[in-house]
Amino acid sequence: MKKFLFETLGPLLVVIIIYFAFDPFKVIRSYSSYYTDGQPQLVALDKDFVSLKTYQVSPETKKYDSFIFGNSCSMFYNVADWKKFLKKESVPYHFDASSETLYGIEKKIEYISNNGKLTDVLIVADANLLKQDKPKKGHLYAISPELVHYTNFVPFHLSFFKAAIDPKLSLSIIAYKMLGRRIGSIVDDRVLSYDSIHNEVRFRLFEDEIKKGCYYNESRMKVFYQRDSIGNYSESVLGENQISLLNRINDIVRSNNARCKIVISPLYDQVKFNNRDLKILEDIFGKHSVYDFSGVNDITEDYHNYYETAHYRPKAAAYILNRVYQ
Amino acid sequence: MVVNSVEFLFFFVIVFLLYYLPFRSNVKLQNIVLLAGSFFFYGICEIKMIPLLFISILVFYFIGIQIERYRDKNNVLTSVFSYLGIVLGIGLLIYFKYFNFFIESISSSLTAIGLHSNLHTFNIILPIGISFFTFKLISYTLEIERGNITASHDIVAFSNYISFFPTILSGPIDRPGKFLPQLAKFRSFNYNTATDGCKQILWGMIKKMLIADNIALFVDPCWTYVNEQSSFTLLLAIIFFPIQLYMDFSGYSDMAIGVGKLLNISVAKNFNYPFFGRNIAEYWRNWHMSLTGWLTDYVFMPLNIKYRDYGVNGSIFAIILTFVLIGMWHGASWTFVLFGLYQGLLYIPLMKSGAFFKKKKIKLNKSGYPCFKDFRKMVFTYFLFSVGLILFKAPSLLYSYHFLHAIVNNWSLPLITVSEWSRPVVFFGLSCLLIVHEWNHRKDEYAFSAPLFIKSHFFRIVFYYVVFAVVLAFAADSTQFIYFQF
Repeated sequence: MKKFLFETLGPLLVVIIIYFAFDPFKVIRSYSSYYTDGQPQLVALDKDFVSLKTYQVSPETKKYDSFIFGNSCSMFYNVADWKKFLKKESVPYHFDASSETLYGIEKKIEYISNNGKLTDVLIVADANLLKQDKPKKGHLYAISPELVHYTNFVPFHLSFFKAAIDPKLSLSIIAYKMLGRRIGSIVDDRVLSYDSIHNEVRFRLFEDEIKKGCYYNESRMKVFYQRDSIGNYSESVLGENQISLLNRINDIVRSNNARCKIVISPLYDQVKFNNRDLKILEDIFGKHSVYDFSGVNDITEDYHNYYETAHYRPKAAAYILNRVYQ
Repeated sequence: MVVNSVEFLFFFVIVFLLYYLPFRSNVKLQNIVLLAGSFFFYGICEIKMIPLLFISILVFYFIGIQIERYRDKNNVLTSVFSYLGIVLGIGLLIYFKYFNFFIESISSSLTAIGLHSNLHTFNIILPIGISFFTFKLISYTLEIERGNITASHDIVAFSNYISFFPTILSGPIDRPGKFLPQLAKFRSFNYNTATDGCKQILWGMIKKMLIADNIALFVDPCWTYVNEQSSFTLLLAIIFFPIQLYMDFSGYSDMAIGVGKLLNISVAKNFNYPFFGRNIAEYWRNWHMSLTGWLTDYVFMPLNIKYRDYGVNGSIFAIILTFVLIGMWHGASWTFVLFGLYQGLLYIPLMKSGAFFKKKKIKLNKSGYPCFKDFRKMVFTYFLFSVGLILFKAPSLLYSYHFLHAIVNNWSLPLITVSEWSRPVVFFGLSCLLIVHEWNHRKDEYAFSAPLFIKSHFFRIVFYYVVFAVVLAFAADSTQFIYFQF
């Protein structure tokens, strides 16, 4: 029995020890900063968890009162641009998550309402985000256990452990460390600019390349497909559950006397946000709180407003902020 | 929680340690640990159905004791309790699995003849594993009634037989005569059995995670977007699917058997290299053996005896009916009924020619592989089985018609690009190599069971861990086991 346990549980134990020691997804220990400014973050982190933890450990925690919620598109809304439209003493914070869900936003707003201040809310949404009324699966999209009263604690940590034991991950990291360049797409070697106070992540290299005029090269241009969805509308995504979550968000926002703005993202596909859903959002939050930038317009017409088809640039986000708040 | 998941690994480590370490030589405590593990496992998968499982176990435990009590003394009461068991077992299946199907079929039949019906379907949740555990319950009742086994007077042991966690979701369907006696004795740890179990689990992981899930990357989109695929692509999807299904289901069975071995419990074999069957009878004899064996014993044999006066035609009727039931066991849909019927009809030439009753050995060539004639028969049988699986895979009869229609009409559509299918094709090729490996080891229990050529114990262990790492590295995104839906 001892021999068998040594041969089977021994290696498992070693893997667990290595996992705890290296904590590749930074979910075991607490960190003062989850990204290092000017360095790549080789292993993709769960942005939901990073946003929550950074919020908790930041020296500014008590002062945060303005929050940008949304998926990765919301990352490109500069807090500096937003601050122009907020009160002088406001301290904004990016509370985004990868592939964010409506469910996740509701949980985050509830958490902030219970633990901090809420003065201004900016929700960067699209049909796909608003459709999601349940937490997403996958370690990069897992909702932080604290936001759901630790009900997902075990599956949350198991999903990271599962991802960590994938030999592809360790081999990619070893190869990157040895060769100095990435093999495959697991390791992300893009250099980040990170402002931990506002939890703002940027890929400065992209903007530098755009300035130099070399960003939109032949290989990158391949992703900008010909759009044929002009005049198309997205399917209605707001059902009973989604409406209930939206009402809950509105209730929390109102109980905090906060100002809330919802932006429907100008996605490259130019599919117009569903009219019925837009009406529901306007009915819940008020007509002057919802701004639809989807479909064919001056932002979506120009591919220079996009890094690729999924993400628009900070300059497009700044333009949107101007339109929303002025 | 699936057997090849990290969650299961942690769950099983706890069960394994509790099973062997603190309760040395105490069979009752060992069975309690097993039962607690089984109910926890089932609860994680389907917590709402725990009461159903629990009540079913209690009722059949009581029925079993009553049948034994009156057997040889009171034939009427024996029959009453036996029929009660059968009716309850089949009733469970009918209610949860087929009730809406019957309502829909009646309603559409009435509509077809111009009558208006107000029949509505019900919102019935299908309990996971119900097709497997109800068959165990019925088998238990029939075996006691036939006098093949005695009723279990140990509720914990009986509960373990029904709810044994490695097999409750997808089988194999163990028989009480072989399974229950194992629970009456203390299972001590056996190093060789345990390491063999680990090897079989690894073999199951290779089949499921490396082969089946990678082939699924090709097959599943073909079925989802039928109209966008060329005829050639769809034909390939038909050819690939039996391998995917085999690797998926036999992979699960290997893992379940392997987990059983780690607990020193022998689980029924489910596959015995079916692709080497030269006709449909040989094929089915080695495919999902625990189900076909169950239906042979409890359906085909009694029917065959009943209709023996009709000679071969009686046997043909018995076999077709058995296969229709095999089809229906898979699901409440006309596609499964026709799938079973199709398989049954394939037996007719075999039975008429007498080939069904003859057992011929496979002729080998000088290299030890099947001679061309037998190989050709194996390929042809594989093809016949593949065609039948169109009905198995299609969600409805109309969809299977669309699929066949697309095969006939989509010759002009472009083939999918090489980058899209290179990975599945590589893994299909790899699966063919595995089948060759299976041929070379067809006399072994499973194709990975033979001792390794590496003599050093340490390097043997290293080899298995390397294989394990390769499986994890090249595994496609995990898909649900195909047989979980049944």
